[in-house]
Amino acid sequence: MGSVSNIKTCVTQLGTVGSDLNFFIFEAPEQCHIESIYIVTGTTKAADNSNYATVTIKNLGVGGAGTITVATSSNNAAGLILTADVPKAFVMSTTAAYHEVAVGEVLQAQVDVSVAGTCTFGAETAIIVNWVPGTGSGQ
Amino acid sequence: MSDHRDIEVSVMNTGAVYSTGAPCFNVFRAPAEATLVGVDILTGTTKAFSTGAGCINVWNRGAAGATGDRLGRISFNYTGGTVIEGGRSTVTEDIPTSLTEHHLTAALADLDAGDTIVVEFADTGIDGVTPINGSANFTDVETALIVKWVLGTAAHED
Repeated sequence: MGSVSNIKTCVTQLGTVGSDLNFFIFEAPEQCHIESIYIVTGTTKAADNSNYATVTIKNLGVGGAGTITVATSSNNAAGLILTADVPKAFVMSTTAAYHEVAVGEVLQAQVDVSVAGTCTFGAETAIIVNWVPGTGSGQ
Repeated sequence: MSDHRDIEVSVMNTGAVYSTGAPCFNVFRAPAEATLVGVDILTGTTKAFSTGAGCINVWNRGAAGATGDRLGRISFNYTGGTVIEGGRSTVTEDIPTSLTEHHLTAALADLDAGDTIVVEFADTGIDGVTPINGSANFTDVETALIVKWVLGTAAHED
């Protein structure tokens, strides 16, 4: 990412999340390429297969009905720990075309908690979208 | 929107707005001379315009917090035969709705360094009829405000 010029960033505060919930995190002002997405929390969330949350970043398109998965993150055992105050990179889709976002398209973070009220993100939770204008990386 | 390049984006989740009065959200402060491209609202469920709901204003409070210039407004109130600005009848779920497209002139879009943009959920409809507020019937838990802007003004784009 360090070699990418003209990179931009957009931070969205989620606040406390204790149940399944959706958040709008980005609206493309022009054709752009999603370089990376991070999640950061104020408290550590251990990797745990019985107490975890999965966050899926969906591209809703311009009409609100899109279902493309751009990236995912989880703190289940496979997804690993989410350490306090350390931004954790989402796993980007292996389909490169899904990293391209057209003008007006909306990205939504869909939070799915394994146990409502137990597996929670704290008040400091935020998602960071790093993007570059144009198509492809390093514009 | 296509007139601009190198646009920056800022997202603020407001959630449901239940406050009475006219709750305001400070959504942007110009770090330098800038041009406002637009302010949009997104909601998780469709909101139908109806009586009993107010309007949303977008203000430039300037650097000193004055009432300032109105940059945008949409009304959610049919009362008194008010024409809904832009002819909208709903804000559709998951689709951005512009709050500024009917007000934002080139002159208004030019922001000085320190200008602060505020989105106001007003409790009075566009026609001055006092409707219900506090019912959050034009916001929901997913509601977000999106600010799009570019550095520099029309007269001096960086």
